[in-house]
Amino acid sequence: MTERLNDLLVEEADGLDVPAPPAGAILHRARGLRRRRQGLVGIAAAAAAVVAIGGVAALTGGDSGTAADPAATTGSAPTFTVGTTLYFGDGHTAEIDDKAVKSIYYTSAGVLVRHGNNSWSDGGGPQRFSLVSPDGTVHPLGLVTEETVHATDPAQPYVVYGQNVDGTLQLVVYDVTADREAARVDVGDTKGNWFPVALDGDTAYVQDGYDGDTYAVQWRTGDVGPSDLSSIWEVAGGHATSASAGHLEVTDLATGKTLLDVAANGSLDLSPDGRFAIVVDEDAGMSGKPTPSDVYDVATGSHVSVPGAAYDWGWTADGDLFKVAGGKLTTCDSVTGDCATTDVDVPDSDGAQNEPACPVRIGKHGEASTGDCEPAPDPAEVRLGGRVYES
Amino acid sequence: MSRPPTDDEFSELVHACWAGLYRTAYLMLGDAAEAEDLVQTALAKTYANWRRVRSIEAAPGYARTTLVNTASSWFRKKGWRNEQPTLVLPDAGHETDPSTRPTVLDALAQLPPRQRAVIVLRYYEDLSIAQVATALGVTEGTVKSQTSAAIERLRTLLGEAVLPIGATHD
Repeated sequence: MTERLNDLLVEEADGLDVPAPPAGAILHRARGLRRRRQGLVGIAAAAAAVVAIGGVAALTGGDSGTAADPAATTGSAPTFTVGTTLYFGDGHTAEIDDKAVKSIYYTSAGVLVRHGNNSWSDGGGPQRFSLVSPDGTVHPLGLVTEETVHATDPAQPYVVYGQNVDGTLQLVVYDVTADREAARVDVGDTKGNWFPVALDGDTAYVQDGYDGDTYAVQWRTGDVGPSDLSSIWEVAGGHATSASAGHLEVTDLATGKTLLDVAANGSLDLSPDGRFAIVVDEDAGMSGKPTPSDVYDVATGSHVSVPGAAYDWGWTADGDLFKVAGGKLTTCDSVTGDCATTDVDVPDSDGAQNEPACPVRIGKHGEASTGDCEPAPDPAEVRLGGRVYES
Repeated sequence: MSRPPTDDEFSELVHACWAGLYRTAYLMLGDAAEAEDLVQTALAKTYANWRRVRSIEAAPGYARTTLVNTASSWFRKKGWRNEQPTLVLPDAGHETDPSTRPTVLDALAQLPPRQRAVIVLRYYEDLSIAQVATALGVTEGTVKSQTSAAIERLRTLLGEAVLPIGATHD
């Protein structure tokens, strides 16, 4: 007896003017959520016994790099790309000779830029790399990867990633200064080709896909052991984050000691050096209401607030926050919470990806059209330092 | 083993799901901006929870469930429109000229958010009472009582031609 109501609801729904699907903006937001909800458990156990179950397939000059103060090399300035131009935040720039930038990483040798045929973070063909020295000199590297995840430690000159070689998961440590592999370690059998990874000093963490086992790899010795980290996205500076109902924690990986316990929902995103953590509340900003995000000093437990959603912010190498929008660069001190905004001379930019160039109207039967709109040039996309863009 | 979607795959998913999810969201919320935000949130959560979604094929269903769950969590937030309709139309109290009656959207706007969601899920999404209860995180009894109250109100606004007496418990 409610058929008429059903019919009317369908008619009303079909008659709605459906806005264009902002795929790029959703992906941008989704990446922010995904990174932060990768909870960690049993961190204390992860620091315990490392059992050798794998072997070193190759060690080729693991000592070629020396740890350095990241602030002395990559600087404490906000570092970001717009299009294929790398901005150091202090005015000087470097140009990457490729079609698009995918993401950037801090290393002790400079800024490592991942680039390729498009800006896609996942997929999209070969992933090429260039090291940009603090003086702005660009050094294209011989490293080319595809369909995998990368990570760096800002205190070291390495990038790590996992690779399936004939059914074996191998962890590769690549020296960006020497432009060659520093180590390749057999981790275990795998059927996957996509491996979340983290680098923390001489320990690398790698996971066999979303649901697979997680390993702690002593990459200089080749010792491999199981890790209780259920996810390894948030490992930095000897710290890892975890989340449980109503509680967010930062734990010391070496001792298992809880360093920070925040009563909040969501998750924590560590700065590249692991000294600070920002609370990511996935429900923040709903209905267009801007809400501040809390940033904690892991050592002291004190916190400050910065405006807006956490995943809009990038990190400097030494733990301050920054974002770029509308020709403005905003930098916030993670200790004091003081923020400063300056004009930045960058092209029209968009932090999101894949936005349609013209408004797309969706018809009643799901068909899409752009009418007579002349597509405008795609805005140059922004990539922020200290952010991981791979899924 | 699940692998996250590529940017291209996810973009295709968004385009494929967007219109349907938006229509449901709009019927539930009655506000274009909130509906758009709800759909964006649902799709972003779908991407972020890919280890549970596991495949592109399963993603649309996961997104729809997430949309309803997220809306339900919004309703639970203190002060969500104070559980009151934004505009109060006078009760007709009797059969009036059908041409002057409000549209279904106008009538839905007179319902408190949860009642509105129940109506949309029951009679637009064709979910069972049990499914609605699960989606909104309430008991089946609550769904029945909310449905009854909402139908009663809609009958007053839309007339018995749309909702005849006895249509409450179909």
